Amino acid sequence: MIEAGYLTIIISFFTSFYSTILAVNGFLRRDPKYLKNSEEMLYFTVFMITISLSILLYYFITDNFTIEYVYLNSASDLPVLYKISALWAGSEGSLLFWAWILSIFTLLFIYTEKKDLLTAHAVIVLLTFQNFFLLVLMYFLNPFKPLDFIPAHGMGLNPLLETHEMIFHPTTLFAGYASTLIPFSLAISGLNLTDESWVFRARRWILFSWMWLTAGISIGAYWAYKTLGWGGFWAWDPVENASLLPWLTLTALVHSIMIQEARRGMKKWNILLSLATVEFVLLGTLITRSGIIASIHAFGRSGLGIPFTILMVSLLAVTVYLIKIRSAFIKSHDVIEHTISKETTFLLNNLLFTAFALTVFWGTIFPLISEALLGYKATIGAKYYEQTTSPIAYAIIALTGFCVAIGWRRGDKKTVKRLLVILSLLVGAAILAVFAGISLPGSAALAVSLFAVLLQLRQYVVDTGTFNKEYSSLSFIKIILRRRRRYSGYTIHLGVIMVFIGIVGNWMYAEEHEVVMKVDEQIKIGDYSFVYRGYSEDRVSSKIVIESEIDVINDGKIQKVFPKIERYMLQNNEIVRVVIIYEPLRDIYITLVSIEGDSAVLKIKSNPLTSLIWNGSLIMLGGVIFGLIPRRVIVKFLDAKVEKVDRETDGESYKKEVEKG
Amino acid sequence: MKKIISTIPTDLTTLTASILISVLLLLILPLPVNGLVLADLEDDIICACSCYRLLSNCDCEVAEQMKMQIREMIDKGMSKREIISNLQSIYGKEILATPPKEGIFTGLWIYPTIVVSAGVIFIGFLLKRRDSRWYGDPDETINKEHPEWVDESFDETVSER
Repeated sequence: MIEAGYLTIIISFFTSFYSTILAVNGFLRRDPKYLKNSEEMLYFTVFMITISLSILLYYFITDNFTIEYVYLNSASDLPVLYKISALWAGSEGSLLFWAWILSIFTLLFIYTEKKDLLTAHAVIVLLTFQNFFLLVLMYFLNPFKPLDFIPAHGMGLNPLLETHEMIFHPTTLFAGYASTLIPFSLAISGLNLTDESWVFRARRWILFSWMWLTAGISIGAYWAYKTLGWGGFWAWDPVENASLLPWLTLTALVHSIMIQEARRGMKKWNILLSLATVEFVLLGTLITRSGIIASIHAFGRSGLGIPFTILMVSLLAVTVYLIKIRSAFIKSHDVIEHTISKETTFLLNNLLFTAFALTVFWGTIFPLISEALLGYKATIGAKYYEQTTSPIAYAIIALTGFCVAIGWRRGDKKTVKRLLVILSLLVGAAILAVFAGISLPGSAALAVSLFAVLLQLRQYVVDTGTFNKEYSSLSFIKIILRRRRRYSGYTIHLGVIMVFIGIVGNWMYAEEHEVVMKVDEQIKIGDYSFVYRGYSEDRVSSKIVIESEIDVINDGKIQKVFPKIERYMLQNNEIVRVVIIYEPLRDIYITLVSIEGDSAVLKIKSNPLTSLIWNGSLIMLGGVIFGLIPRRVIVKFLDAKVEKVDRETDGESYKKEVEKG
Repeated sequence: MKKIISTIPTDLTTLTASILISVLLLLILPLPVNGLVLADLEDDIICACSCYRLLSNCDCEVAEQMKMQIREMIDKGMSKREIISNLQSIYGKEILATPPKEGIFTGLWIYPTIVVSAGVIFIGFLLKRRDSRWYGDPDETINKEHPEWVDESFDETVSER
């Protein structure tokens, strides 16, 4: 008898496929009735995928180990929260979850977009992706595959995944991956229909996707920091790189798409960037789930390689073909009116982000090249990435300052001169600081960051003054809301700069001490004293927990902390549970390495500025969420009359500009 | 001060070139060389226990054994290259985390410089093309919302094509 969950996947595929046929029919016949039917059928598909996901969840919670996927990724003694997160611990569950998110995003896309040909075409593309995922679930990665025997226990979840972050990291990252398909669908539809309005429509979806990816990467980095026990948050592992790549190309796209809006330039480039983003997403999934490149956390091995490679090649072929046949339509206008302009800074921004992405991509796939040429997969470690991408990152931060301070069309020469003087003075100060004993990377980072932060803050003030004159009847908050797109950009930049400073602090100035302490022995490191009070060893279900007790003394206050080692018997795995003492400008990171007789071996690390990474990420997310506030919400809040005048003014200025052009 | 300002190049092509030169300089700057200690090798070697972590980030038994071997080789007066070669012969070539700047790996290291240089040349070319038009500040973009498939805009769009 066919398994209920698998049956729902089959039904989902057929309803999704039927929905696609209806959409294609409606599109070709130009008949909205078919499109409406397709939309209704999509509701049913979403319902069926939700049922499918719920059944799998039910199997996890009720320990149904007759299902292979549950057996391999769960255990009876696993807390319920981790049984839920075990759902996406392997390829099968992840892909089902991804298909579910994609179906919901497709509905959201239909709900919020203008119902025209472009949307209809984009929906067809999105449904095609959905069909692909459901087909892969049916033929390659069935999450409901039954076992031939009835096991008493499950194999358990990878202990590294037994953290709260793993509930949110994969979910947000999958949401990010799935949502990158929307800008691509709009781009490819705009290209096929020769409808340039795709750029205006794609903007918010690019930001939407960027928001999820930023959240996913940040939570992932925090998980690595808290869980892996070495005090870092980014190891340049292929899987980590795979999530960074689409983020980089999407960031470039956010900027370059504005040039197409303003200048009708970079048309081909924007389509290629949206394609590259999706290709990197698929590559990321391929790397994470196929094991073609060795990685710290390639968690689930599966047969995704062939279908995903076919999809990647097909997307490339279709896009290149469409670019070829629509070459007359996507002939770009020139971008530059004057060298000193925001357009130039955006061109440089695209160069830097693309170079960053290509460098990371090159390092990630280089093991395959070395295998082909030398017969072994060379390891490309952190030093390569740090040495090659650091100069690009520094340039990006400096450019962040220039791009906000220089206006569209024709910037002010004097402003640029002043900016160059300020930057030169700051860089000069950084070089002098080197003679005073501060390392060059640190002082240079401080110089470019200070430059960029000052210019963001200056622009907040300058713009608010300008807009205050323009909308004299509006309150300060209403002005910010009206111009949320611009303020959201500045806020995101501030977040990025904070993250940059945090990364430099963590990578350049961390101090590590490995100490061997006898019971009641006190060791002083910096402002802190540490006293080892002994350890306990307990068996908790299928793991042995070795818990040390440390008194941390600072300013006369004693804080008891308990760094642990957990030995997982089922998985034959040992992991450390670190203790992090958070301070505003540094973290004290304590790891129990081992217990040797009556002594404990501890690693005590001071990680300066690391909290800026997490706080900066939150500011970035706050900024992008602010920029995504729907227009209808803003209109309700703003004075309707002002809004009307505002629209009319926009129209007039637009006409004037076109006449000028 | 005015004089200083006037002598600073304002052309953004020069700025672009300056950024490129800085990038190139930072890429080719040699790393500081000190007397060989374990820390100089820990970040270049990954642990052979299949955890794929750098030796500096791994405390497992295999990592400890490898660190001990490195210390012994340093004490014997071996050079960094010799130690790495020795470890590769024991644990496999894959344990080297930082590829050398020679052979096929040269391509790995110079690639970012090539990408940035090509990009700068391309941007320089774009900066010379000035037949541009202005269609409006992207900040002013307004997205209209339409609730139904069956609306006039759909038919209009259809008839336009």
